[in-house]
Amino acid sequence: MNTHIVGVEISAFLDGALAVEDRARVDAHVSACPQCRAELESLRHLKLALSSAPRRNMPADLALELERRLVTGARWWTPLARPAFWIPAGAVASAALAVGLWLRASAPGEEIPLEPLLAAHSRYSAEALVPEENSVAANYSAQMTSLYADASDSEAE
Amino acid sequence: MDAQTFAGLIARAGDKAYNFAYRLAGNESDARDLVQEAFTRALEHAESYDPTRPFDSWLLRILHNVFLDAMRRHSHSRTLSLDAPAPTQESGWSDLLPEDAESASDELIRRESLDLLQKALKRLPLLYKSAVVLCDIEGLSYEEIAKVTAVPVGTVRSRIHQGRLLLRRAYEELEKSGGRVS
Amino acid sequence: MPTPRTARPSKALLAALLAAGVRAGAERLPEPSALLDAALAPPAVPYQGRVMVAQWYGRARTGELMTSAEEMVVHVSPPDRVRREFLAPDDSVARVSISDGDQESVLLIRSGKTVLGNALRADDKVLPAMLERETLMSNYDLSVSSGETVAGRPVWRLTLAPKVDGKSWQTLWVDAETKVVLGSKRWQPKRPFASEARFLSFEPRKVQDPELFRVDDSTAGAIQARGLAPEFLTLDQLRERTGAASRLPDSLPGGFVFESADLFMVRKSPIRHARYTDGLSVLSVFETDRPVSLPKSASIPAGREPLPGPLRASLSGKVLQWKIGARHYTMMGDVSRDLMAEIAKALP
Repeated sequence: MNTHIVGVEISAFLDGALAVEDRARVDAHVSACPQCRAELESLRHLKLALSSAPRRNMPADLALELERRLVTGARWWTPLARPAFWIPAGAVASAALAVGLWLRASAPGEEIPLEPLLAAHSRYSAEALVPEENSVAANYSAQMTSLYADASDSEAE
Repeated sequence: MDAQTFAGLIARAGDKAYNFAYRLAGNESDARDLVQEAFTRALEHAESYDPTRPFDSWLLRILHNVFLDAMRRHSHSRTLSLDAPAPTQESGWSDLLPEDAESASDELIRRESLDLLQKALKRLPLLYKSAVVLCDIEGLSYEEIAKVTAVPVGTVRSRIHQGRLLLRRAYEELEKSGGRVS
Repeated sequence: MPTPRTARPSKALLAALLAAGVRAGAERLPEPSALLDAALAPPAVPYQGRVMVAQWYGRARTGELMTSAEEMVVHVSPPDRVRREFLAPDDSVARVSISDGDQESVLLIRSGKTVLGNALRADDKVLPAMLERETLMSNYDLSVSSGETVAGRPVWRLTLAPKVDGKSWQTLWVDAETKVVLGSKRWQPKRPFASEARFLSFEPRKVQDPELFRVDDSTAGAIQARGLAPEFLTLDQLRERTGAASRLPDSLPGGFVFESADLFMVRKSPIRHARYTDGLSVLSVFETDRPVSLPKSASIPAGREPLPGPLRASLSGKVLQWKIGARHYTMMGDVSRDLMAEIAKALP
């Protein structure tokens, strides 16, 4: 045998992901070629070991926690939304209210506020290869302040 | 789709999501964080889920993205880019396997509970790991894996194969060293 | 020798390499790209200092320069822990941002509110570091000079000059001893836009108190700002997620390449955020199905190139807004108005 099966094809063969004609060709080659057969068996062994690894089910307490979140809707808010539409963490909102807020859209013709876009761009600037770390951090944290602060934070003397 | 139905879909896919998260992350604590984060993102993007498409793939895709983001944040301790091209010679493979960062005492505890295969899996660069886990543990087709990892099927093919070769080598190294970190 | 894949080689190694290149007693300058790598690597030593940040962001309607200034006290502990105390004009602390490398918090002093999110990390890149560096080198000329001091310490001055008109220049003043960036300035020739950060005092330390960097995520009422955790999508992924044939291209005039995209909602309107970089300067292009409100500053008049829509200044850069059919575009960046107009034309 001069040419062996390309590695990628052996894996694809194992996974049943080869086209019919290719499958036949690989099958024929493998029957006649000990090296390729050995490789196929080795990978099959590996695949079997992985697929018979015990499945991990979600820990019960995690499942409960996630279910609780679904019910109370404590996290059902839109990122970078203005504070008026934000539900404080830990507050229990009724399911109906949560769904209502989730579905609430802007009034027709209402503009999208610019601030969340500015913050997103600012954050991107902070990740630039040559960050002006301190300048950008100043802007970025100021924008976080304006998004989440209430009147008392920005009161000047 | 109403909130109730969506909640039901999420609940049923929970175990599958956790299993995938566990295989990617390699330990329970990180898997829990991954699932929490993915869950939050799924809720936030609920409106973008198309009910005519399989829910599991959609959720696994979110989980995969969350995992990639988390890995980027922690990648300062790794000497590897996420998508390292395959080396052309066998000797290049060793470049792709990062040193295990566990300390000796962690190792003693873990050796009891973790099997060698999971440890070998942990050493895979993450894009190879995702492909192998989705193929061999979750049993997804190449097309489905392409959807979850958002790459072409050809890339899925090569990642699965290279992932297996790396996994096999990592496993053999671990066996040789008696499961001890070299 | 294996190909280095580290995005950020250690400062200690680079400092050694640089030192080897600088003979004792000779005025030999470090090689510019090596100095850049050393400056961008994570810090080798803990340090603290006081920093002044200033910005010039255009002219008011009346013609005067608009400026802002802020001082902060910074504590840094390698590799990625940072604490910044932003000072009010009377030197009291107005807000504190802490990053422990994993999480970040911004504590608003007056209200006691804490905003939490994932840490800003320069390692959160989609574009592999080597490609980004190549992009930078193809778009900028680097040069080094010596003889200056910042915060009383000798520094190298590293200049990055754009090869294309209409882009900002960048200068970094790099501490000769620790390779920390003690000063940085970005400016545009002949334009009233610049930003600068400079250490007024700088002190390397043996250790930093870890308590300084503790992100307290347990306070009741702490706000989880999910908006601080964006996604990094490819253009294909973005199109898939939105089910729309997005018209965002993978490169823009001026040497900008697509880096990653994010998709988020504001008041149930999806915002498609495409991020472009030329290695140094970054551009954001937001694509929306509804109009975005305008910045509150004055309009900037067009230069040589006609503008497709209003152009205004903001602290995050210039903001250009226009509409094509039913799609609305909002572009942010710190390039010249002519370059912005040219780039806007390239968006189909």
